[in-house]
Amino acid sequence: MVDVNTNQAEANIKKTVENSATEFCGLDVGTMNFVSAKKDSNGTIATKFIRDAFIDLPVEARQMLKLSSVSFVEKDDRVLVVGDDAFKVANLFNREARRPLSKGIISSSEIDALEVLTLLVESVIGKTTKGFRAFSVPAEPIDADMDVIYHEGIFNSIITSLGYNAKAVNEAEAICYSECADNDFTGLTISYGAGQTNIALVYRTMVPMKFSIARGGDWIDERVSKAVGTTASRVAAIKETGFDIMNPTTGDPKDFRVREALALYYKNLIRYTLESIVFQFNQVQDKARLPISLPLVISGGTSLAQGFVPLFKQLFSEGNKLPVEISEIRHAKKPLEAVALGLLTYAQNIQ
Amino acid sequence: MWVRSKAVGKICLPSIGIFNALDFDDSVEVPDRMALHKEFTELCRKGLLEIVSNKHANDKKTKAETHIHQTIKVNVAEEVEKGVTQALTKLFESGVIQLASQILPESKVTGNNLVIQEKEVKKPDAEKFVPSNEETYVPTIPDSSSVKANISVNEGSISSEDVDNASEKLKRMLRED
Repeated sequence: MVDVNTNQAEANIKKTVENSATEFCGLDVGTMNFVSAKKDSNGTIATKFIRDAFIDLPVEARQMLKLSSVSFVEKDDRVLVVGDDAFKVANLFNREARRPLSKGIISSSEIDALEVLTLLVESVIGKTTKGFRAFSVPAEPIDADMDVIYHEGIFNSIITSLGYNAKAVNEAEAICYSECADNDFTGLTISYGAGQTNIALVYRTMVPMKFSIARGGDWIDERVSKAVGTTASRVAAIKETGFDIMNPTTGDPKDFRVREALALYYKNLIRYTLESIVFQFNQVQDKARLPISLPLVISGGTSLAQGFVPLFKQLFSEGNKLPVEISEIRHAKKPLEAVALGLLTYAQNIQ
Repeated sequence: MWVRSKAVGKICLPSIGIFNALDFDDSVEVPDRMALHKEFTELCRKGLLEIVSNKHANDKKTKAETHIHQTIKVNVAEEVEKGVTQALTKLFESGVIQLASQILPESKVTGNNLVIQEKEVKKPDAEKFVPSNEETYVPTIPDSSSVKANISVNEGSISSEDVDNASEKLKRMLRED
């Protein structure tokens, strides 16, 4: 005679063992960085970062690279320096690092770099025999003719090849999972990345509005470099030395024009974001059930510039035309990791 | 107005956009399939077309249900726009789509033109409809297992308290819903 209860109990135990063996992870696929978050055995969240950039050198450079402990990949008759080191080597050789992603999605000019992309992803998430990985994808931009279908397909394939079941989640939506738990997963979230700015309106985990604009940190660097006649790399370097958007006059006098232009373009990016949000809100407000009030959360690497959030608050209060009340404007606790942490939360609960 | 895709064959293209959701008949000769997809995708983007059901026909459904599961909707108010009519006519002439009336006889058709139906025919049950995002094509990636690599990453560590709390709350909310 078959004991139904015993069988059921065994099935439950098996299911529990299977679930506990599953590795849950979040992977933020950004234009500048890949960031992963995974719970380790002692209960903390382990994060890993790598810059998604590379530069190719002649094979003769191999020995030199091995000696200096630089991250590299050997491919055919070339050596590709990858990650942060790619930028350092690029500066050394006075060249630009190659970027596999551009404006948030796989760059069409670097489409032959998929092997490198796979290795970079593997370096932050590793291989597994049984895992569930949520990875970020941008929304389609409202101001550029781009879609994310090919990009999503490629990353789905890469992550699956590493042993995970993969699920794509919108980047800005993911921020809500890490930053808006106390608001019942309701909020207006903005991810200021290098390639794009992603925006999502999330209401109790539902997403009535998500979109992106094809402007971010790279756009600022490029515009400033054109405006003042310098290189984007130099602009980025000045930006990263601790420049304050609210007070661009402070600093080395010979970089004043660059800082001034940077402040102007940051302001322009924020204004453009706010105008886009109002425009998109007006498109959905008759169709979607909007909450009475909600928090606005700012995240992403571009928002790390000193004075970014105060400037955002100032511009918001000057011309707020949103049809919903914003209860507060706050910076994500961990602006660089917020997407990966949100994806981890998502992966643990929604398979 | 309702139109539907013609048959149940699948095509596999890396960038077929929203039409992953629709199953086209491979036997249908289309001079420039990609151009048509592009146009069709553009119409969807503008909100002039909407996929209201994209359940795959190989599901174990009755024939009638299968028909409904390949239906797209044309925004009637905007249909008069030249581009929509032209694009749809092109798709219609190439045999990629048919009028719903050719499957659902109760609708009204005038000649070979795409016409606006005043009455919606067999609208899919919104409650039962579950959109499928299933891709029909999976892009291939090169095998990198034999590539020699030496990559180091920046590592960090964060307390799991926030993630655990958020996770617990999300679990509770999903259970309640």
